Amino acid sequence: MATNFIFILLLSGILCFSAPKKQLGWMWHLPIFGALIYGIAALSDCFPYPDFAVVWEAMPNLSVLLNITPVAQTKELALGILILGAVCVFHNLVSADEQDKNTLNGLAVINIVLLLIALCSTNYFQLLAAVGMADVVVYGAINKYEAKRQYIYGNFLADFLLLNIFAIILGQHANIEIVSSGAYSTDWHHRDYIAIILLLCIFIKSGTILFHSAYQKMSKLNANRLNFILFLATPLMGAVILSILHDILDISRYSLPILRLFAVFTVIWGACGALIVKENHRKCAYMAMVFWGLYFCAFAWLSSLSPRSFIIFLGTAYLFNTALSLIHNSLSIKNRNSFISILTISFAAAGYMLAWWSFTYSNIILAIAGECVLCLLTSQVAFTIRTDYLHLSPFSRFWLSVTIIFGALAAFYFTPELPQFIPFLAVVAPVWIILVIFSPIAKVALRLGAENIQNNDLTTAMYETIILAPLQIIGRILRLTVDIVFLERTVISSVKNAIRFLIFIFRRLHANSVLSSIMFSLLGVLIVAVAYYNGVVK
Amino acid sequence: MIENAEILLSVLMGVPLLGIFFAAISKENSESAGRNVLSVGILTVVSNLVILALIGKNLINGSDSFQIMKKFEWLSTPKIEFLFAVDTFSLLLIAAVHIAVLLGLFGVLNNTYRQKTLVILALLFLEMMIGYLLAGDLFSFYIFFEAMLLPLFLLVGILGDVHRQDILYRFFLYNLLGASLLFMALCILFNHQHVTIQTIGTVVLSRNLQMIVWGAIFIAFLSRIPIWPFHYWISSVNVNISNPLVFIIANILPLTGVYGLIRFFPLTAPEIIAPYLLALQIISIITMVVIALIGFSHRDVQYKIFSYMTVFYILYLLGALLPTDKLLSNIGFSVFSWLIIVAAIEVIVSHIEKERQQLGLSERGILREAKTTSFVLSFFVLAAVGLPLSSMFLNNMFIFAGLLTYNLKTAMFILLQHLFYLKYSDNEIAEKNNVINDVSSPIIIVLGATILLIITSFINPLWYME
Repeated sequence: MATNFIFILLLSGILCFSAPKKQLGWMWHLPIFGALIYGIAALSDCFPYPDFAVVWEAMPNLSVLLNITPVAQTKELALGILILGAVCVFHNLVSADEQDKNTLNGLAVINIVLLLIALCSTNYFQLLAAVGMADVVVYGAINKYEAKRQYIYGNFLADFLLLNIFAIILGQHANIEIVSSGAYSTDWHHRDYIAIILLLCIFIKSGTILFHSAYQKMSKLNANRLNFILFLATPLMGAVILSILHDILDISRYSLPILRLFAVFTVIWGACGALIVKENHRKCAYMAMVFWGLYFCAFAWLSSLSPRSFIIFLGTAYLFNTALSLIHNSLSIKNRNSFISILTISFAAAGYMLAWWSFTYSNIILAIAGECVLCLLTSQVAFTIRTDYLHLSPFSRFWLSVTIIFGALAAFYFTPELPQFIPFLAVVAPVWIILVIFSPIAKVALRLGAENIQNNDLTTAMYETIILAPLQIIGRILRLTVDIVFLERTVISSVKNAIRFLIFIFRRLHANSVLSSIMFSLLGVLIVAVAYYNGVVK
Repeated sequence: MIENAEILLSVLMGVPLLGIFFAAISKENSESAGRNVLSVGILTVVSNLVILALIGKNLINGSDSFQIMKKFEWLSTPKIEFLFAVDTFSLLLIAAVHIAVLLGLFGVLNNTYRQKTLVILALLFLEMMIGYLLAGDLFSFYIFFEAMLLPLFLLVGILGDVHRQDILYRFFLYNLLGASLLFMALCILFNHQHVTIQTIGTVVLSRNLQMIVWGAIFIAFLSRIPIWPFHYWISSVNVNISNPLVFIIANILPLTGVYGLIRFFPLTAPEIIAPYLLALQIISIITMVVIALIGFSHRDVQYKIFSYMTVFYILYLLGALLPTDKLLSNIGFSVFSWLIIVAAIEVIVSHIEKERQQLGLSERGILREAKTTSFVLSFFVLAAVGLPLSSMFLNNMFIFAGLLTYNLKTAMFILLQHLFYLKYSDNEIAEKNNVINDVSSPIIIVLGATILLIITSFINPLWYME
C-alpha cells in the first residue's frame, strides 16, 4: 500500500496521461478520483495525514530536503486545490467537446501535485523545481501553437527571474530556506531589485495587465482546457508564489504600491474587456484577469485573506467561467444539456458571491450573466435552447439536483452570514438587471472605440514594436558591423596583408646578396638578445 | 568497485581505434548504403558508454582529484610519460561527448554521401577527445589538443559544405595561432620543470616569463572558445554545415578551450594575468550579448544553435574563471545535459531543414502533422532554455549564484542570453501540404532514451554511482 496520496495522485496522473485514448474510456480516471478522495479525506483529518520528507540528491554538492507536508497555514489551501482539482477533472471527463480527456486530466492531476509541492515548499529549490515543472506540464496542455508560444516565452522569463532571485539570495546569503527570506532586509543591498523582479514574475504568471496577451491567445482552446489553465494552473501558481514569498516583498518600499497599481489596472482592463468583447471564451479570459486582479487587490489592501475565502472565491469564478464558456458551444449544437445545470449553479454562485468580500467581481458576474440570459431569450437560436431545456436528459437532471444539494450544503457550511445580505441583494439585483438590459457600459465603450483597443492585442504589438523589433535591428547592425566590416574586412584582411608582407620580407632576406646576409644575421642576434634579456637578466 | 580499474582507461582509449579499423575494412556498396560502417560507429560508441558506466561505478562523488590513473612511459631520455587519469568532471564530459556523437551518428542514418569517411573521422575525433579529456600530463594534453584538429579539418573540408576557401583559411589561421602559443608555453614549462597538469600551479617563473607563458596558454585556450574575436571562425564554419554529425563535432571543439582553462587553472587565474580578467569578463559579456542579438535576428537556424551554444560556453567560461573550485562539479553536470540536449536539437533541426528544403516548403506550420518530432523538439528546446527537465536547471542556478557572489553586474548581463529562441511554424493555418514527415522510428527511440536520460540527470544526477 502506498504511504502517501501525493505519490498515488502522481502515479494516477501519469497513468491517465499515458493511457490510450480510445480504450477503457473513463476507467483510467478511477485511480485519479480515488487518490483525490483519499487526499481530501486525509487533509480533512478523516485519516491521519502521513508526513513526507525525503533528501533529494538534486546536485553533486548540495542535498535538498524535499518536503510535502502541508502545515496549518497551507492545509486549507491544499484541501481547496484538491477539491477544485476534482471538480475540474470531473468537468473534463463529462465534457463532450474534449477529444483527449486522458491527456488533459493526466496533466491536470500532475499540475495539482506540483501545486501542492510548491505550496509545501520550505526551500527555494523545491519551489523553483515545482514552478518550472508546472510550466512544462501546462505547456503540454495548451494545444494551440500561438498560445503555446506566447505562454512559454513569458513563463520561461518568469521562471528565469525567479531563478535569478534565488541565485542572488543563495550567492549572498548562502541560505536556501524560505523561512529566512525576510532576513535579507537586514544585510542585503539589492532589496528593491529582488522585490520588483519577484513581482514581475508573479505578474507574468498571473497574467495581469501588460502580461495578459498569452492568456487572451488561449481563447481558441476549448472550454475545459481554458478554464483549467486560467484558474487551476499557472495563475494559481503565481498566487502560491506570492503567498509563500510575501516576506521578500516586504523588504522593499516600492513593492506594495506597484502591486496595488497593477492590481487596480488589471481589474479595470479585465472588466472592460469582459463587458465589451462578444466572444465568450475571450470573456472568460478577461473574467480570469478580473479575478486575479481582485486577488492582488485583496492581498495588497486587506490585512489578511483567509485561504477558505480565497478558495471559495476561486471556485465560484471557475464555475462561472465554465458556464460562460459552455454557452457558446451550446447555442450552436443541439442536445447539449449539461451546460444548463452548470449555468444554474453559476448564476446562483454569482448571487452567493455578493455575500463575500468581492463585491466587484460579483457585480461583473451579474452583468455578464444577465447578458447571457438576454442572449438566450432574444437570440435566434433561443428556440433550440428552450427545447434543450425541456428535454433534459436523466443524467443532467441527476447532476443538477446533486449540485443544488451540494451548493446548498456548501452555503450553509461556509456562510452563516448569508441571510443578512438577502435584503441587500434584493435592492442591488434589479438595478443591475436594468443596467444589463440597457448595457450602458458596452454602449459607451463601443462609442469610444474600446472594442478595437481590446481586440487589437495592443500588448503584443507593443512588445514587438518596442522590444523585439529594435533588438532584431540591433542584431542585424551588429552582424554587419562587428562580423563583416570589422572582423572580415578589417582584422582578417589586415592579418592576410601582414602575412603577405612578412613573406615578402623573408623572400628579400633570402636573396643572394651581402645586405640580405647581414640583415638575416642581425635578425638572429636580435632574437638571441631578446631571449637573453627575458630569460637571464630578468 | 572493480579491481585494476585503470585498465578500463586503456580499453576506453582502445575501443575507438578498433572501431576505426573495422570501419575502414567494412564492406560498403550501393546495397548497404553506408549502413555497415554506421553500425560499426554506433557499436563503438555504445561500447565505450558501457565502459564509462563501469568507470563511473568506481568513482566517488565529491572528490576533485584524479581517482583512476594509468601511466605509460614513452621515452627515458628525455623522460616523457603519458599519464591518463579520470575524475567525475572529465567522466561527465567524456560521456556527454560520446552521447552527442552517438546522436549525431543516428542523425546521419539516412545519409549515403561518404559515410565511411564520415564515421572514420568522427571516431578519430572521438579518440582524440577522449585522450584530451583523460590527459594528465602536458605532453599528451598538447598532442591531443592539436591532433583533434586534423579529423575536424577534414570533416569540415570534405563534409561541411564549406564552399569558400576563406572559411578554411580562417579555421587554419586561428588554430595555428592557438597551437603556436600553447606549444611555446609548454616548451618553456617543460624546460623549466617537469610538471604535470595538477602541479602546474607550483611552477616558479620570472615575471616576464610568467606573462608570456600564462598569457600564451590563456590565449591558446580562448582561441577555441567563440569569444570575440575568435567567435568569427567558429561561426563562419558552423553556419555552412548541414550534416548534423559534423555540426555536433565542430561545436564540441570549444569545449576543449573551456576544459583546458579549468584543468590548468582550477582555482583561479595566475596572479600575473589576474588584472586582465576584468577585460576578459567585459569582452565575454559583450560577446554574449552581441552573439545573442545576432542569433536573435539571424534567419538561419544553425546560426541560432551556434549562438545559443556560444552563450553557454561563455557562461561556463565565466563560471570556471571565478576564484573558487566549488562550481567545478556544477559545471560538469550542467555541461553533461547541455551538450546532449544541443546534439538532440541539432539532429531534429537538421531533419526538419532537410525535409523543408527537399519539399520546398516555408517554415510556417511544417511541424503540424509531425507530432512526435514536434513533441521531442519541444522537450529539448524547453530543456535547453533551462526549464527543470535536466541537470542544467539547478546546476546553472549554482553557477549564477557563484557569478552573482563575485560580480552582480556581470551576472545581470547574462540575463540577456535568453534573447535566443528557436522559431518554427508560427502559423496554425498553414496549407495542408505544407508539412514534413516525422523523424524515423530508430531516431525517435534513441531520442526517447535520451529524454529519459536527461530527466534522470535532473531527478537523480548521481544515479550511475554506487
